[in-house]
Amino acid sequence: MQSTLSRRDLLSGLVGLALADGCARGRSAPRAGAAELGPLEGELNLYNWSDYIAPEVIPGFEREFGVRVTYDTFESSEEMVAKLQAGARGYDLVVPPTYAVTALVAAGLLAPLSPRYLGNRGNVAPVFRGLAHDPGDRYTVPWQWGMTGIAWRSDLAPPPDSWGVFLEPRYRGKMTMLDDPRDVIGAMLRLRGHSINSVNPAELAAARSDAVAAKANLKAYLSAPVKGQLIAGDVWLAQLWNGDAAQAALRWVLPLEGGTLWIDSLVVPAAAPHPRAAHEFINFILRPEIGAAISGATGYGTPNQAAMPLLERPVPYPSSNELARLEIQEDLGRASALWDEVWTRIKSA
Amino acid sequence: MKRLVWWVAGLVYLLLHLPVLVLVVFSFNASKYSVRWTGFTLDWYRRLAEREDLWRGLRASLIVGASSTLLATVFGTLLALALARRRFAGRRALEGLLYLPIVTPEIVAGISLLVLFVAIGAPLGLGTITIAHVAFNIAFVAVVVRARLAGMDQSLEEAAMTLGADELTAFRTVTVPLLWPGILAGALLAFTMSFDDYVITSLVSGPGSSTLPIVVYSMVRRNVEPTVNAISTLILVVTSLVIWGANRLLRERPLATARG
Repeated sequence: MQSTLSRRDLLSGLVGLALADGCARGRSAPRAGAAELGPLEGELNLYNWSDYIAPEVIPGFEREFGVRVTYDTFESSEEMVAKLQAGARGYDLVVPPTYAVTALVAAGLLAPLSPRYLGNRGNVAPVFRGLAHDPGDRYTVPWQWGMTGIAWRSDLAPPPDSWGVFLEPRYRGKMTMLDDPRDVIGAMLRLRGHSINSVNPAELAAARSDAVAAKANLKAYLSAPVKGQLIAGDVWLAQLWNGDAAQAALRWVLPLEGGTLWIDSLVVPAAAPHPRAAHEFINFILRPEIGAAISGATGYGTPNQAAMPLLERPVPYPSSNELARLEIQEDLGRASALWDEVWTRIKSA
Repeated sequence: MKRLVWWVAGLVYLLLHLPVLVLVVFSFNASKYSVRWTGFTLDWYRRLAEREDLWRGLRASLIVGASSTLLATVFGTLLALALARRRFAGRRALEGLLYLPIVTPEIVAGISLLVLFVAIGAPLGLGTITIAHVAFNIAFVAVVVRARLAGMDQSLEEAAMTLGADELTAFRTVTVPLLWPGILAGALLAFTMSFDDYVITSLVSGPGSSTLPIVVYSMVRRNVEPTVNAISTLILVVTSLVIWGANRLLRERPLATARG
């Protein structure tokens, strides 16, 4: 996957060129940020991952509100952020991960939400409020969430309890880690008791050598497709998200050292052409039955506590014990280059 | 020695086509996780019919593919002719620039086009994708047509004009028919490049203009389902038919012109 890496590098580098423009636009009194929005528009443009919604949600919204919805998809959050930073307009609702929210807010590309249109916001579970990426809940409403831990074949291997399992040669060739620098390096940082958002070169150097040592035991760096290999028994242990493990009926554990709590949120770009429709849509998905439908289809956790009782197999909220060990991925800022370098060295080791 | 050559050739072909074959086979696999064969099914093709996003993507890809191919073929052919037949100031520089879109990394081309579109306030959508595709396709068409021009005897046109044809008539009745295989090959290449393109397209696309590759890439990232194999198989079949048809056209063309 060398090509993705170089693409990422280039993206982050080139976006600097376009950034000035994006910033300037963001600061000029955003129409979308006003407390009082205009009348409901006839259209709504969503920008999200593929298959990250229940099929009936959009037609339901269109019928009830008379708004025509367009659903476009992106392939990586880096790409989506780069596009918005370069000044791409037209999208009314975007679904970035936590660290991208920080970057987008810093660039002035998001409109603050107008609370008066979000009557159902009380349904958001307290766990998902006031988090580091949006301390005042000014810009985001959580969409789906999950944790990064270890899924394993309970019939083939005893329960793992530590990220250190990836350093043990006894499962050599039967383990995978996610194909994402934040996850791989993050896990190794936690192993040594550091933050997944560390920008300390010494900590990162230690994480790098651990990751290189672990790489010798790994079959591959693999993300969503690993489910199939786990089911087939080609892989016994995999770094994976709890929702994906549940979809494939696999056991899953959050290692003792802790891991990532990831949250994808709905945000409204400052340049959104249909801000009122965006707010109505956010309020719509905050209804209990709609929230339940979405998580029922994606298999991930719903941040909507009113939707929990409606779900057949809800992903339970992190316990206070787990919560103490979980961290949210934050924007790495200037340290991104350092992380990229560490990742390149792991991959080429 | 000859045996060895056959072995190597066989190995290369196997390497090239085995993954595609696996992809096709697993589009008929009953298991959702495409690693083990669990039985034959057409379910994924049925599911394909329900996936509106894929069909919308296909529609967008065909619109962009057809229009960008048409424009790029016209411009690319004219460019190739100008470069081969005309002497003008800056011709060498222009010729060098011709290769630039081919060697520029896609991500650089994509970002710069996006910044340009944003700067001039062009709404992102099928229009901007088409313009972006024309931008890189002109170069591909021009290069292919130039290769054909290089092998063409210019004295045929001169002969036509000596026999009283004006420049336009000579162009229409001699140059174009002789160039036709090159133009067609250029157009085919342009269409394929456009149909396949992901990086540039994803950057200059806007709401409601996701092409097939954008939809498929995003699908694969989230959920690897054999529906992706099914749509890939269909595309493969259609592309093979188009190439087969084009090959036939190319083979028959010289005869037809000889007779005409």
